[in-house]
This record gives sequence, C-alpha cells and structure tokens, in this order.
Amino acid sequence: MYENVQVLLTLFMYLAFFGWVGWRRGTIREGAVLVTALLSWWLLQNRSGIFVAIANLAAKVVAALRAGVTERSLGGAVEAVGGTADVITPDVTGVFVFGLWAALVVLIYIVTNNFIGSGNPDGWSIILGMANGLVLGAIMLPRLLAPLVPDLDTGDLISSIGVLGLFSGSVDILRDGVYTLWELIEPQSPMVILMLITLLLVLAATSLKGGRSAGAED
Amino acid sequence: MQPVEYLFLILGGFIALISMARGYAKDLGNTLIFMVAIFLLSFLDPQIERGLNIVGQTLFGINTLDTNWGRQIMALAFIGVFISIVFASYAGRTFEYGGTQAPPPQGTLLNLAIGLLNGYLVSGTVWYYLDKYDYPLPEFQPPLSAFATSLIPFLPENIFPTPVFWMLPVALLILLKVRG
Repeated sequence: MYENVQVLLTLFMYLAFFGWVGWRRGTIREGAVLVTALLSWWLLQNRSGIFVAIANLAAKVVAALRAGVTERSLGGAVEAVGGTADVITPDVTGVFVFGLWAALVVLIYIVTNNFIGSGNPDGWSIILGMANGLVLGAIMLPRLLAPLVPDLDTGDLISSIGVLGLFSGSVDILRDGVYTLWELIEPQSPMVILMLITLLLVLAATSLKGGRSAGAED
Repeated sequence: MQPVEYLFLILGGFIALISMARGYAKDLGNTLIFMVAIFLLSFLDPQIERGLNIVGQTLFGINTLDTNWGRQIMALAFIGVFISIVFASYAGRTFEYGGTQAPPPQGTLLNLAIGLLNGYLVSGTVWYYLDKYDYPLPEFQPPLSAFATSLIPFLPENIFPTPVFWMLPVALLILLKVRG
C-alpha cells in the first residue's frame, strides 16, 4: 500500500523539478521544447524510413567523396558508393532514431536558451515544464531501466509505453496514490478536509491584487 | 427512485459554472456567506426544528416529524432559508472580496476550485436536508444507490464533527479582508 505513496511522491518531485525548470526558462522556451520534442518523436516514429535513408545516403556520399579524393575518378567514386554498405541497418534503426531525437531535444534546449528571452514566468511555464518532464520521461525512462533492472523486458516497455502511455500511467499513479493517501488520513479526514478548504480559500484570497472595499453593487 | 446523486452533481456543476463565469474575486464573498449560512443553520438546527414542531402542534395538532408532509415542510423550510441566503448573496448589494484575479492558468484553476467548492456547498446542503428528512419529496424516494450512500458522509453538514469547523476558514477570510 505504501509503495503507491512512494511512487506518488517520486512523481510529484519529478514534476516539481520540471515545473521549476519551466518557471526558470519561461513559457515560450518550454513551449518550443514541447512542440519540438513531440513533433520530432512522432515524425521519427512514423517516418523513420526517410531519416534512415537520408543518413545512409549521406554516409555513401561521404564515402564517394573520399573515393573521389583518393582515386580522382568518377568511376571509382560510383564504385565506392555502390560498394558502401548501409550505415543504419535495421538493427540499429532504433538507436539511430532515439539518438537523433535526443540530439534535437538538446539542440532545442540550447537554441531556446540562447536566442529566446525567458519572459515573465507564469503558471503556463510551470505547466509546460511539467509536460516536458512527462514527455521526456515517457521516452527516456524505459531506456534507463534496461541497465538498472536487468530482468525487466525493457524492449516491450519501450515499444508499449509511449507518450500517451506515460500520461495515462501518471493519472493512474495519481489516482492510486491519492486513494492510498486517503486511506492513511481517513481517521483524521475532517481535519485534513478543513485544512484543504482553508488553504484553498487563503490561497485564493491572497492571490487577489489591489482589493477594494466590500459591499459593491453587482 | 431517481438517481438523486446525478441531480445534485448537475446542480453543483451548474453553480460551479456560474462561479467560473463570475470569477473567484467575486465568488469568494459568496463562499464566505454559504459557509456562514451552513454554520448558522446547523448550529441552530435543533431550535429551528423545535420551533417548527411547536407551530405544527399548535396549528395542526401533530408532531411535524411523524408525517411525510410535515417532513416535507421541515425540509423545504431549511432548504428555502438556505436558498434565500444563496440568492441574496448573488443579488443586489453583495459581499465582494474585491481585487484583481491572478492571470491564467492560476486564475482559471482558482476559478474552477472555488466554483466547485461553491457548487459542493450549495448542492450538498440541499441534499443534506432532503436526506435528513428521509427524502419527503415524491420525486426522490429511498433506497439510494451505493454511490449516493457513499457520498452522504461527505455532505457539508456531515463532514465535520461540529459546524463550528466552518467558521475557521470564514474567520481567516475576514481577517485577510480586514488586513487588506
């Protein structure tokens, strides 16, 4: 039962960290990362053949250029292209796709940090930061588990979890965690509910800026 | 038996929508008044019930709680008073907390949270009085569904061991208002 609470706390800390990163970086930067990460992942998953073909062609062109430079003949260059095996074989397509995506994400983080101002941090930047955390976690966490948990079939996990899987999984964790927490605090539920209601009202009241006197005409 | 929980969930949802449309800067004042009304009605419940019973015995010679229509009158009296307070809190000169709301998404989330709280307070209180007087209206007759039964302990008048609990957030809100 208590594992659920640990998982909930871990998820909360993980999201809080990415929320804090979002707060520091600002809405536009985080939005750019989210759009890039999602779009590039979708493209690389559904149109990976294009990128593999481009990479293989580029490798062959490099090989051709090398052959041309060394043998100084077109025939030798063509022969070199024809004779060059694909660099990205079906075995390494997954690694290539993931590597390309990771490079893009790192690049977009660097580009947005250097060329886009952070702006005024607001709630959207926190939400977008958390969304980035979920997306990055969905794609990277199954791969991290492979060396950490040798017995786990991470191949299935990698292919099945996906971004939507992590979102629904997070919702399940939240639901189970809240349910377990509720079971723990149930004996003190009136006090907890009173604290939550009071906290909400105080939060709302203190978030108002520049109040005016009561008794206004509607 | 109609699914009574759906009626109150829909009623609460409507009030939440109205609150969201108005904004929490205006609706905090309503929340405060609803909580005071719940406290007063719960605190004075035995006296009001006794008073209505005396009226019933004097005028009709019956114990009000023994008959279905007597319980109807009791439930409608409490609900009527509460709804009048709710209406008064929205109409005419209102207690308005004032100030400018936080921008979205914080403001939107607070609108939603305060709206849901208001919806819960109003629809939960109406449900409580129907439940207390054993559903005297012909539209809703026991037995309740398992889901509805599980919600009964969480109605505003049942959730705290004493109605005085409702005055803690009220006192804090007033203090914050006075402090400015």
